[in-house]
Formats: sequence, C-alpha cells, structure tokens
Amino acid sequence: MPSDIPSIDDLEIEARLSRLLPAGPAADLLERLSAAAEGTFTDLTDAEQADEAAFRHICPAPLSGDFTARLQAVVAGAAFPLDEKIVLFPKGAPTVKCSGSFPRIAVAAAVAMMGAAAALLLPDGEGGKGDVTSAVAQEVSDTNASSEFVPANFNRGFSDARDQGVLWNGVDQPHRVVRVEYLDRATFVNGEGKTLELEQPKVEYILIPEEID
Amino acid sequence: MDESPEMAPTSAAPGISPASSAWNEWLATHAPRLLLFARQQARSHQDAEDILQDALVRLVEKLNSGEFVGGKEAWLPYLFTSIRRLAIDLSRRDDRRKRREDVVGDDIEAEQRDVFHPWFESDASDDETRIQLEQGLKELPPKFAEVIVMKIWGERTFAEIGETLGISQNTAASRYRYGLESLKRQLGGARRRGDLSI
Repeated sequence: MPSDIPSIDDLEIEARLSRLLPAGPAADLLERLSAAAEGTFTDLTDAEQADEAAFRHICPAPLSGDFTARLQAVVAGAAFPLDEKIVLFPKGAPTVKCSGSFPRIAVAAAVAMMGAAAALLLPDGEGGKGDVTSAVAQEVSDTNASSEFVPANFNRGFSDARDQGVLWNGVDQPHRVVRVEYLDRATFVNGEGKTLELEQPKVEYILIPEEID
Repeated sequence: MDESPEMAPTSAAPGISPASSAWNEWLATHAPRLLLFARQQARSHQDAEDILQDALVRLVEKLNSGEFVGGKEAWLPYLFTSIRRLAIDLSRRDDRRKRREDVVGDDIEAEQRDVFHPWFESDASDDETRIQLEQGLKELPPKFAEVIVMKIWGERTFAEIGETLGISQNTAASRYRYGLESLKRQLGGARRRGDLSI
C-alpha cells in the first residue's frame, strides 16, 4: 500500500527543484503581453498594413460563369436590403381572376380601373387597416357604353402579418420589419347587369423603430 | 485588391428585377473572397464551390423566413462562419468514407483537377507570384492560413475572425503575424524579383 508520506528522496528532489527559477519570458513575448493588456495588440503597425495592402493587391480569382449562375439562382427569390429603410424585392405578378368569359383586354382595363377606383373610393388614396367597404358608384353610363364596366364596390381585407426580423446597420436606429398582406377585391358592373370581380394581393413592409438596450 | 464600395443599382437590366441586380453586384464583390476562404478550408475546388453554395442557401433561407438577426453587414460574418463549419463537417464525412472504403486516389485526382482552378487571378507578368502565393498559403498551417485569408481578402477584423474561429482577437492577431511572417519568407523569391512590394 503506497504511503502518503514523501520519501527522503522525494523531499530532496523537491528541494532541488524549488531552488531553480523559471526562465524569464523573451522580450517580444513581454511586449506582446503588454500590448494585449493595453488593448493595442490587434492594432497593425504601418509596416504590417503595407504588407497587407501588398497581398490584397493580388485579387482572388473570379467565379466561373456556371458557378455564378448557381449562386444567382440561390438568391433569385430573396429580397435585398439597400439600407434600413429601403428593401428591394424580386419580381412577382399580381393574381387576377375573372368571373365569366370576358376578353383579356377587358380584364386589363378592369385592373387599371380598379386602381382608379381605389384612389376614388378610399380616404386619402391610402388603404385603411382591416376591412374597408366603400360606397357603390353613383352613375352607370347608359349611352353607347352600356357594356363598359364601372367600379361598384371595393374591399381591402387583411390576410397575414409576419415578423421579418430587424434591420440594423449597427449605427442608426434599428427597425423591425413587419410584412403585411392584404387582398384587395373590386367589383365592377356594367349597364347590362354583368359583374366583374377582381382580386389583387398587396404586400406592405412596415418599419417599426426597435428599442435597443 | 480594388475596393468597390457597395452601391445601389442605378438601373436594372431589362427583365432583371432591382433585387436581382443588387444581388448580382453583391455577389460580384464578395463571392470571390468567400470562395477563396472556402478553397482554403476545403480539400478541393469542387468542395469549396459546394460549401459556398450551401452557406449562401442557409443565409437566404434565414433571410426569407425572417430568422436572420442583423442587417446586411452581418451577412459576411455569418457566411464565413458557415463556410468553416460546413468545411469541417464535409472533411469529417470524407474521412469516415475513406476509412470505410480505403480510397487513396481521390486526393491526387482532386489536386490534378484543381490545377485548372487557381486561387488568384493574374496576368502573364505575375503568374509565378500568384502560384507561389497559392502554394505558400497551402503550406502554411491551416490555423494561420485561415486567419490570413479572412483578414487580408475577407477584410474581417480580428474580433470578427476570433468570433468565427472560436478564439480571442489577440490569438487571431498573433496567428496573423506568425502566418504573415512565414508567408513572406516563403515568397522570398517573388520579393527579390520585385513582384511583391513586401
């Protein structure tokens, strides 16, 4: 059974070792420790910055055309924030559905009229929050334009709201981005009693100042 | 390396949305330096491209889902970190596969293919310098080479490098200095010719 009491040999060795002193750190190590303590170790000298610039002058090889196309395909559907207030979005086509067999030109004209109807029927030309129901159009022309469609009703319904995260460049006020989806519905009627209903989704991004500690 | 400041697209090409145009400009500026880092981390050019693509997919998924924290300035630190982690994962998978299959020829084939995929662009006058620089980085211990690539061409700060690599910024600075001195010694020939002003 080993003894916990050190032997005479152990004590002698311990005494000899304790008389030895560790070698002092090299001058450059002392300089490094001192700089680290002062918080200046990560600052590059002028010579180091010049070396860095010389190496940086040799540029990484450009990407091949194929690989560039692969990366572009990855980001194809993603929005791109220019800054905290401006976000670029990829192209998307609004959906339009028609009831009945109306010619395409009539549908295109109706979409344009829907925009005009929104400006005409909504307060201050802007959509309100939640459902907005406007008055029926006051006149329907009964001259040669009996088949022309005029706006009859407009409704903006709230569909969805999602938190898209925080936009912040680390300097100015951060903003939380909220994506709000609406569905605009417009009803058009003509003198012949036919109706045309159009739906168009609308997306708004609302920037809300975010508190920071 | 010329620093091209990020600019808002003044006009998109016909048929290309402003977002796509902005992304193309961003990729043109940053993708080469990200690929260089991926090359330093990976075992082959093909792996490096796959890793970079996977890292970009992860970023876009987080952006689209609203999970990404931080603005555009946080993209590059996220991508450097992702590239490193993906490279480590891929390396471990390759090692396990090689132990199972006892494949020894793959690395040699990859090296032969990579001759056609240089790390740096060059013209005829400095082609040898480019080759020496690439070889020098490959021969450096990886812990030095990755700091050098991130600092010089990735233009990351020591604090960002430390966060990516899981080390202190002082350790990052120390590895940078060691690595740079070692690289300069290896490039002694290019310096004597005057191809490198260091």
